[in-house]
Amino acid sequence: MGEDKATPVVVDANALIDLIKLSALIPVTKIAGYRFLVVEEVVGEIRRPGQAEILKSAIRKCCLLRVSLNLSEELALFARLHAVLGRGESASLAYASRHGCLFLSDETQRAFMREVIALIGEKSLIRTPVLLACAVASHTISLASLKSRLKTLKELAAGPKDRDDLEHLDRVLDRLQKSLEER
Amino acid sequence: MTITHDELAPRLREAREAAGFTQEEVAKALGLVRPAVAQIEAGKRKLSSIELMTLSRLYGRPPQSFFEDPFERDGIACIWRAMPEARKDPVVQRGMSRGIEIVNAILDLEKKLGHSRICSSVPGRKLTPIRTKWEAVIQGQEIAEQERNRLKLGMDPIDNPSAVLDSQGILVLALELPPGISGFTFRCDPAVVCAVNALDALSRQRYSLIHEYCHAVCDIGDTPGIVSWTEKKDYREVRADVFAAGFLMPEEGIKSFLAGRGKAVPSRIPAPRIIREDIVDYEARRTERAREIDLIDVVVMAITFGVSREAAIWRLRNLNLINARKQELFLSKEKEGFGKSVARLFGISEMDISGPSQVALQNAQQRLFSLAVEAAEASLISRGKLIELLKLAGLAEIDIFELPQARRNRK
Repeated sequence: MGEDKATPVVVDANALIDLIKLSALIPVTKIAGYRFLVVEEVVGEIRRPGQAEILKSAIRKCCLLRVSLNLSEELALFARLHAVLGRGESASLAYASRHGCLFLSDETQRAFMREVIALIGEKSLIRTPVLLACAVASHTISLASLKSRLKTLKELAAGPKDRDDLEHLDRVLDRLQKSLEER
Repeated sequence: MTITHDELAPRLREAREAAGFTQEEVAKALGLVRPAVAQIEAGKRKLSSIELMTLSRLYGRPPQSFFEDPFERDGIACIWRAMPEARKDPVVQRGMSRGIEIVNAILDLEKKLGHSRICSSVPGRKLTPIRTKWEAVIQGQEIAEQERNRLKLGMDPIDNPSAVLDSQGILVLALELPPGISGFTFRCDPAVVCAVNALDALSRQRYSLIHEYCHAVCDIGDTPGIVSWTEKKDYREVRADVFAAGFLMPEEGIKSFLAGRGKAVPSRIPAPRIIREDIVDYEARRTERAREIDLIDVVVMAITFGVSREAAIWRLRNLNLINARKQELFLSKEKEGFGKSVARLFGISEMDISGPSQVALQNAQQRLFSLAVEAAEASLISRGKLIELLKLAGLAEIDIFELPQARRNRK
């Protein structure tokens, strides 16, 4: 019963991958007052074997709830959005819009923001540093462990996508540190 | 206004029927049992967004089209009906679906960007109906010559037939098609799309592409799509074959090529000489044997004009440059592998290579790539959509993230 009162947060693929990479997925889902949802399309976008396994395990442990779109108005919105956004983004935003959820994503590109603002408003969009700050504040994870994990990731990085992700994670942790200092 | 679940169900059935799929085939693609598909189409079972995307790809229509008013039943689906074999083979089906998805994505991006580049500039020809094979041959020859003139191609060999079609606003795709189908052409307003079988040898693909170009020029006004079978030849196919031969191997071009090799020329050639400060008329004589076209000429001709050796042999015969006996001899030697060995000897056998040679012929993927990047630059699509489109265009992840537009941290 208590779980129903928790604010639902739909997680997009990039944010999910970032959390998995930082070993922060499970700790984040333990933040009180929120429940985390992932649409089928995003599950399908997590293709790297290690990451897919972690996601499956989180779903099995009910840390994340797997949801799908099947109402005709959801499908129509998804189809319209898919002409502009990626498949996972479209499904996540359509779900968040129809079910009054928050949307976790770090995307800032204009086409994406235009749809987000029109459908759920900027206030319903949450960013990874904010969520991680909540997790640190509620002691489910520490900044030191995140930094140490990022250091390991940098040693293992291979390929342009990894490098791009790590650059982003660097900024995420910078913002997190600033936000913790401000508290 | 959003359509209801009850309105969506019959549209799904209509789309399936328009594409010629059975419920059984659709069930297989969705990983369901047939009664589940029947229930979806009767509005008794809900459809998920994942299933919607699978159906959208299968039927060759954008997902949004299911919700638009008025609902367009046919779209590109006609091409599926024309090729029932393509629906049966999962590999072919995936290739076809991908090709159609590329075309749909291009059309959508063109619309978003306000471009009309894709609009085909091929002149619609009013042709007299063909009643005999001979009329098909004559028409094919005439139209090939007229098209070469219209496009100002002169008599030179065509280096890149795909570029010729591109200049006419025709999209070119190389797809893995069932054996026996060399290509197909269809109209997808405002575009015309020509596809060739990527599993054929490159020389065959070039020929097929020009064969399809003939369909685009002559036939596509009357019918939404036309499939070219290797064996089943109606008059339109005969005309397209003759067109391809004439377009790729123009008579004057062939004669000039042969003359350059001292072949198919008169036995006496004027060769004036200067003797004691006077110019004296002199005629060089070549023996009949030296003037005869041999199989090495055929090999070099095939490479020069980018056609198969078999096509080159047929063209020489049709132009009456070799007699029937010689044609038969060349064809039998070709069958024995003589031509291939000669080509290998000269290091010019790359046209024989079979298998997907998509980069060599396609322009559709290149167009999709440039449109997607342009749309992302103009903030008309998200980064996520850009990455999806670049993958559809055939780019590997490692190449995608080399593009600044695809990166999260754009500098």
